[in-house]
Amino acid sequence: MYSLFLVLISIFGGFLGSILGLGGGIIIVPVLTLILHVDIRYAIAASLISIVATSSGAAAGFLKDHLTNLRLAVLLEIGTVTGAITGFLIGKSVKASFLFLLFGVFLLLSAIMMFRRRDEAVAVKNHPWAEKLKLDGEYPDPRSGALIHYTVANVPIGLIAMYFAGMLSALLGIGSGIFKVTAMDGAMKLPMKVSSATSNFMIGVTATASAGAYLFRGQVRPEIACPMALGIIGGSWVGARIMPHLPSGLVRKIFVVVLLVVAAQMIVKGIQG
Amino acid sequence: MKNEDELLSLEMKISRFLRWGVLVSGAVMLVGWTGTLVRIHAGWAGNPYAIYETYHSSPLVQEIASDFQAGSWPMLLSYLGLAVLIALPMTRVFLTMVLFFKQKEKTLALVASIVLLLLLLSMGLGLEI
Repeated sequence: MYSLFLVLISIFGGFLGSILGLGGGIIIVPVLTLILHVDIRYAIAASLISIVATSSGAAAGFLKDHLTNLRLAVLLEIGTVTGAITGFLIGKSVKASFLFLLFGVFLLLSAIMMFRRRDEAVAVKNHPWAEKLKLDGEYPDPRSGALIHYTVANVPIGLIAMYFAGMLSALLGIGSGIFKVTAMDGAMKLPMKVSSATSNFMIGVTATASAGAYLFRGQVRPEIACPMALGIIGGSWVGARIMPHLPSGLVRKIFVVVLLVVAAQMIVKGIQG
Repeated sequence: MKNEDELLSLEMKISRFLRWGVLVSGAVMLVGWTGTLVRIHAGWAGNPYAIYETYHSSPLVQEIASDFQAGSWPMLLSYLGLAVLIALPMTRVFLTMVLFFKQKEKTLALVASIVLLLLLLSMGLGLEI
């Protein structure tokens, strides 16, 4: 019964995640910890495994639209992977109650971010590093299909932001897409579609750094991680196909309420210790 | 820009290969997990996740050794599926590095190899020797 419940919840998590553009971890970690009472450290490790699965499966799709900036992704991965290593090392000495608290705050932030307006601020000049590595690129305008050229600003700030995104990813078992996108939109001034696609493309590598480390440490339990990964792969596959036919605005509003409730529960659990 | 198109189309091939990799690892995990399911549910009723309510450290090497001794193939298969999955993004970074080298993009090839080294370092830290 419990195993079936876990698979069903993971299918649902993957489904919802792909509709809302969020990772499954945001749903799975609270379910594992609050309902099944699994220790949060096992939940985090299992969640990272499913992030690796979904992002590796989806990478081809992101590349197809010519929105992913491959060169920039590789550079920024240095930041995210270094951050993930730090997160993994810190995680060893961090108390479970602190992780609950941090996760709760992250959920609150995610709820707020779901309704933020993303302003398009386009950089006019390449940062010197971007110039040297030829990081600027082109993307097709959705209406006319004409190629629009863009430049990349503030590369060092972007790298530092990626470091923190990677750290949170390893600590909480999340993809950290929200933070990556915010840094690329805000600091590096990339076109929104380019930052979303590039962020998604990077998530798999970021999660692999910590998922691999957790696997070797014995924190990834196959009894939890395998059904979860399978459910999420299946759920997100279905979600991606149904998405165009769903009123995502309504789903989004309902989900924000759920996020807020779960955030409160995680925070309370964190405070109670 | 021709170079760039070629880069993207090769990266596309890598990504399609990754998608197949996910399916293969998923299939292995499915077989392994079904095997463990038969065992955990045949053994006792109730919550099979109860043992994970508190965290206890036991390194992967130790787990695999004991599963191997017990002849528990479903668990070994599950681990194999997980290992294949973890290897996929690492393969991607490796192939991207080769791609940049071939295109004589030395700096980016170096960047990709640093990412790969960091990934290997991370796994090494998990071993906690």
